[in-house]
Amino acid sequence: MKPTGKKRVIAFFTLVLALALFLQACSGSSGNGKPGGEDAGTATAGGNQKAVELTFATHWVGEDGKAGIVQKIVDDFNAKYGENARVVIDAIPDDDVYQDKMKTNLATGSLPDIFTFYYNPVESLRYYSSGKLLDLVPYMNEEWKRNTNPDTLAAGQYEGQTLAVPLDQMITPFFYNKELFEQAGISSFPETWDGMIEAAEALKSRGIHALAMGTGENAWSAMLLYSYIVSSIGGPDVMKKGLDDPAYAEAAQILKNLFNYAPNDAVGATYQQYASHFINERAAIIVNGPWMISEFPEELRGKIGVGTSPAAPGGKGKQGALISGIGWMMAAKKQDDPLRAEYSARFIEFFTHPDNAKQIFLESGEVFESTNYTVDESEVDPISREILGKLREAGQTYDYFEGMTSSAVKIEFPASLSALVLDQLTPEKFAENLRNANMQ
Amino acid sequence: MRSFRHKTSILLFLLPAVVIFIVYYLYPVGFLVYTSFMKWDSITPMEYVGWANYRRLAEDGVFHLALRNTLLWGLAGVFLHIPMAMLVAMILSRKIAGWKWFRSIFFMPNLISTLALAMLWQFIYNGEFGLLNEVLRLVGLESWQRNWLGNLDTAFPALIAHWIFYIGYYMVIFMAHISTIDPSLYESSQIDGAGIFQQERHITLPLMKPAVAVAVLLVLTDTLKNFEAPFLLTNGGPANQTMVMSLHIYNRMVSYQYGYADTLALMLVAIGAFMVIAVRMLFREKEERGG
Repeated sequence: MKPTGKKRVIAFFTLVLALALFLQACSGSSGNGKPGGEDAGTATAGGNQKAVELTFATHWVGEDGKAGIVQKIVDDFNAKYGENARVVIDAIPDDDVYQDKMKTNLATGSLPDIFTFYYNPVESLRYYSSGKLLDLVPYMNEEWKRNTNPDTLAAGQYEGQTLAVPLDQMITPFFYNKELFEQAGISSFPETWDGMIEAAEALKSRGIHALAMGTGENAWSAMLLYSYIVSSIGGPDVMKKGLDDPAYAEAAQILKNLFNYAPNDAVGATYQQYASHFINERAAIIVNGPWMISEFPEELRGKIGVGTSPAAPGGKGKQGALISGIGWMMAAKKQDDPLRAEYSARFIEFFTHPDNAKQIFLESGEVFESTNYTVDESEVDPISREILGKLREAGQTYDYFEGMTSSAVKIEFPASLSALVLDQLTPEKFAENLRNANMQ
Repeated sequence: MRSFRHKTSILLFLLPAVVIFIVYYLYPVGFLVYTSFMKWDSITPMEYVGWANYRRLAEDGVFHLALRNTLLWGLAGVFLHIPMAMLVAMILSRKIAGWKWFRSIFFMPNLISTLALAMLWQFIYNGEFGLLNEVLRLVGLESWQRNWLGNLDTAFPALIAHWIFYIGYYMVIFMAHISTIDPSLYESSQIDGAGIFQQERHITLPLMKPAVAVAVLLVLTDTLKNFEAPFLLTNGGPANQTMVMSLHIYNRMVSYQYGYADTLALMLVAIGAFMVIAVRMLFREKEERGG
């Protein structure tokens, strides 16, 4: 039957509506990833002025040791600049998930206004060369320059631009439980890897796991331990020379031996699982950074000692060395709107101001690499004080493996490590897998 | 003229759906095909590398493991998960005492997020303080204790086992279909002396065929997409023994190997298409085959 005129009109307008909705949905994306284009995120502040709303994506939220101070810094910034700019936290609690999300955001051109990324000579170049980061040089006034360590700032510089500012100095000592050591008759932290095995045997005989580590997620603590072993054998510059050094295979054998003294769930254990062994005093040693201090319960803090790298026989690394390098970098997305660009830069300056950097250190133990500030030792918790003391005494500092290799190696490491521990790989094949991943 | 107008009207009404299909399906698949011939980190320009990504598939041991595990998971879904759902659906459709309560109990896990379930099972399987090892100790089977998710032999079965018993979703699908079967068929078979098993075998099962076809298709496509559980429980370990296709694609993506990741994704699309065609052919109605 031929459609009536009325039905044809209804059909026509239904079709137009469907197409209109479709086209509107398709036009929703823009350069800053927000619907509506560059004016998005502009809120009305007091009176008739419009304040720009900037998104600060961070994983320093929730239970993280820096969550409180980071929120305070954001609140203080908003209080100071609220008429012109307001920063809103986009919380992404998990460290690994956060890093993966930033990589995806970089690829899709949807970076948040302000964000952080882990410094890595290989991976950081992807951010710098993308052309999507804001050059901070035009915004660096005299005060900002005065407060900043120029040597460290070099890590964020690319082709004459300053595209990111280093935040924390990543120091990752050995935390050990002095009370568990005493129970096992160990008087001091081992100074050689053979001494570490002997200490582990003594602890094992007392039913105590020596090392809290696992192969789950990115095998963080095991990776740091591996970094110490590799560097103690190959020297502090070994990781700057690629993955061909025999130290990598030799270190893999030592690491595999040390897994015999890890808890039964070590293969596949996530950070939460193996850290809980240390926090609940089932394991005596963990390699991690000062951000872990906030996780220690009060009754444990007095028992914590800080250990440094053992030496390897004939190795080029020195006993007493510590892993120390640039950790997180802070950057801003390149903006067309000058107001958004200016206040993104201002937030970075505010976040890294000596007063705020000092507060972050006092509350979380994180040392800010790029910013000049002084701290009265009496204000510092004993564990952080001991870490800084060991750092001053350290004859060498080491790099950490994940910070010197590509994302592909970071993903390969836990898979190959679990295979190594389960006797599926030889140490040589383990090192070869890492080399092959590095070439992908 | 009338036929032309009629056809034009049909085409115009189909146009939005076709445009959406092209934009959100054909174009992305076409993009996958295109980038599968490229080396691309998503930031710098693409570099044409010909068949290199496909050659890499042949040599990539992790891909072989991921493919094997993905297909095994699908087979477990088809030959374990669905039959269990069918069995429970047939029993509960008999309206046994408390059947509504059982139906809710079986369906409840499907309401819980995969994240919560994964965390729960991590603690059940944990090799140091897990519930499973504790139960084994209590019943005198200490020799069976192990690090379930960290053991090469048990990691993958343990991963599947955490999901295989959550049959509520398909159970509900089957129960809904069984409820549409004419009760007079059961009544007349009862008059003829058929027992419960005979009724289920000769009436319920044959008439459930359309629902089974749908369930098989859904479970296969679900297992192809499976990501959360392997990511949360094992992250593909130990030694890639629990790696699945979607997780392998994700790992390549976050390693800035988008060209190879897209090649893997294309393989997944092809496998999915093959599965859909295979299931449709397998469950094709006798009437269609009879012509």
